[in-house]
Amino acid sequence: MKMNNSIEINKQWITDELQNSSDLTFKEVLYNGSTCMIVYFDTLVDATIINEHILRPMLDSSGGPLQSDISIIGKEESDQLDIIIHAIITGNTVIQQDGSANFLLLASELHKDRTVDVTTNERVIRGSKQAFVELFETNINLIRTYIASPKLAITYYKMGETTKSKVAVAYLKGACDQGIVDNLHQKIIEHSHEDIEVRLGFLKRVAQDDRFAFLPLMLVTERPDRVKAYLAEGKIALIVQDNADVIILPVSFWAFFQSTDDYNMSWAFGSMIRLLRFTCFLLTLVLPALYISVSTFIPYLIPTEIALTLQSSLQYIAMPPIIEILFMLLTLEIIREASIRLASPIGQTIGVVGGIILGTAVVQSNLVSTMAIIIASFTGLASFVIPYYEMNLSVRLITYPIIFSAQLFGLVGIVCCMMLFIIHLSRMKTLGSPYYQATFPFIDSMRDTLYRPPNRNLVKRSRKQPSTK
Amino acid sequence: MTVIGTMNIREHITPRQLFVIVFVLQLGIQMFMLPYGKSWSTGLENMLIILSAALVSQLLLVLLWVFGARGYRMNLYTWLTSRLSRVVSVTILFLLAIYFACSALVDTLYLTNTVRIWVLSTTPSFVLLVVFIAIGAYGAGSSLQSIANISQTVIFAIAIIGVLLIILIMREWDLKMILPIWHVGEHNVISVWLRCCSAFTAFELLLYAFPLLNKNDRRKGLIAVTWANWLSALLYLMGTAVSFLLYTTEQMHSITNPLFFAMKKLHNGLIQGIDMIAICLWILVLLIRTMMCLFMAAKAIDHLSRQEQHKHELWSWIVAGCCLIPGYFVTKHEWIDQLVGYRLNTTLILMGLMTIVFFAAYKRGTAARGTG
Repeated sequence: MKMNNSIEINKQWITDELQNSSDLTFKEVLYNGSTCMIVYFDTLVDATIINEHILRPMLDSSGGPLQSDISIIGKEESDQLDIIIHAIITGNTVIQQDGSANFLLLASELHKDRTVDVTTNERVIRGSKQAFVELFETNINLIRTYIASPKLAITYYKMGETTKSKVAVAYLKGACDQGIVDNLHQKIIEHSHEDIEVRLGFLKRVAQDDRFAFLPLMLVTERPDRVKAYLAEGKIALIVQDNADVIILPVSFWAFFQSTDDYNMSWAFGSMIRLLRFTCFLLTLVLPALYISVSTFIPYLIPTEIALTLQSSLQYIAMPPIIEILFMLLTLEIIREASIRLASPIGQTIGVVGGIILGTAVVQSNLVSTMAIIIASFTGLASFVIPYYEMNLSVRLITYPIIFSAQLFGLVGIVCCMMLFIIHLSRMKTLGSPYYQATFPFIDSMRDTLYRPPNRNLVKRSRKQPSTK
Repeated sequence: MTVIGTMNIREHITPRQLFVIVFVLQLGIQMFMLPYGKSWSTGLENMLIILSAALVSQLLLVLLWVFGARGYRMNLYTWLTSRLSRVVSVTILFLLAIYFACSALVDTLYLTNTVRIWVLSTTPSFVLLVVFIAIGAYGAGSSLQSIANISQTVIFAIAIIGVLLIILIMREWDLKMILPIWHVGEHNVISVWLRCCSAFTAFELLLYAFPLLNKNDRRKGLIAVTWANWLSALLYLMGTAVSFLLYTTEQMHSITNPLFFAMKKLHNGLIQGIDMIAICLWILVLLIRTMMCLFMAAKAIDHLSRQEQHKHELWSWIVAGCCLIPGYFVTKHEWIDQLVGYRLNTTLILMGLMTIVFFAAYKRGTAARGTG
């Protein structure tokens, strides 16, 4: 809707559109003989900007046009009500000169963000400790600072019919496959008018090809150095307003086992730790199922002494191994969830209560065998080694069908589940690129996936993802 | 419609993918049964037969490469529909679909039977059949590249089995036990030799996959399948060597899967049931075979109309469902053995027929080019 020439009518319209909010401020200033209306939310704007860069130049004016008197970089003009309303709610100050329907939109947002802080979820021993923050511009600034290259392309989008959240797509021109960029662009455009709050989860859904994927198809990181490394490899970064994390895509399955630390230490250590992570991933998947399979179907698979220990530990236990394991894993999940939600001092107490008191009590009451506790604890510990929370969650979820399958078919059940898992992995695609590529037995495929090669052999990894075109 | 939805993605594979599929497919059902099928009648000559079969199979591979890959830029099914009359091509495609579906069923029945004998004796065989066929159908719905990826992932299982065989050979090594001696007459030798031949080449797949290689990768493709062929031969030889080192030919007559028995000898302080682990690893390998056969059957049906319908995922589930019906009635061990025999013979006949067809087409093409 086009604005009116009259200040009074416009004032009424703006007041109605913004629900007569108490923090909506209207000021009238006499400028070169005519009245100007200044509108802003006093809770969103920086008072210094208004005083120093808007009001003072207007009062000290020597007769020049309003646009040239005001010394603010972010200046736009509009006579459309919806644009003006959006400008006000995003922290701009709008000015109308009486007799003109045109409004001057001036950037005067109050930036109240926390300073760039250290990483909390993706800690490393060596290397950068900086993490992204919630402010969109600061995150873009961090990326631009880390990659000072003219080839860094950043495109802005507005998503969400109501919220109009800012989303940025960053990639390195030349390193990234343009087909994938175009594909993502089209997907964002298609979903940009959905009336939904734009969060990381929504963007994941937008960019994801497979709705039934059990594993994370995109990597979420809070580390700018990580974004830099992936952009250099030809990946795309998605930055979302009000989020302290950045999405990297398309990534492969192996990316979830890599950490910045791998590249900051010797290749031997890096490789060992990466193998350890992958082993822990497999252990989290199959260890509880193996326990059920061995104790229920084939106790003769393990050495006699251990089989006897297992038998003695199960002797007075009333519940079958599957119930024992499910009970223990459920307890572990409860402790884990409780310790995340509670304040940190109480969270530690939960660990003590859950781990020591509850563990001792269930063993003494013969509810669960000591072996089941060892298996559950080991599984829990192994899951913590996986560096990404999303992958950790997925693995914990996939463990349960394997447990039920082991109860039904023993080792054969585990093998069948693993086969299904491999098939599922192989079918998954992210932005048209294959998600999983088998590596063994070819040495060049294993490089920087299963092991971290020495620096001299750490050639640039595939800069281009296979295109869908 | 999304960008991906509108794109026509051309199917192609790399020489490396061809290598892994052929290698895993060849080892499928044959790995644990080939050397012993008629070992009681041919005795120690099995090893020589395997080598000569590998040689013949190499020759066939080269022929296939010459006729199939070098001459034509389309897969077998597209070639059939484009070169032959509608009635003939539909009939051949339908017969091929039945052949592959039966192959999938027979291999899965054999797997089910072995698992029942060795691991899950109380589980109803039909339940296992449903599980294995369902996994196969799910995998068969993938693209050929995905199946290659799956095959490459399970190569670790073959590597472990290979290491176990090497350990067994080193433990029981005795040169005089593996010397091939010709003493049982040519009839038995030829019979086992034909059986050995069918274990090589993964003929069915190559007809489909060879032309999918990029033009520049054709020569590498031949090298890849040659590697697969001789690696399979090596594993067959090792399996045969282990069997003859540990058992007499008379003993092997009564042992269904002598290699699994042999692996029982490998128990140590850490793992006692290595035979169990070997069976479980072998399940992975055999499931690939089921998957591949269902994939080929589904693709054949998908090509029944003039243009490929790109509905092979749906067809693979339908074919799998159809396999379950006869599978329900095959309950006896002897029937499964018979079916395996029939399938091997059918494979041999198909190999011969397709070689002739390709040769004729190739000659015709050469003649046409010559006159043109």
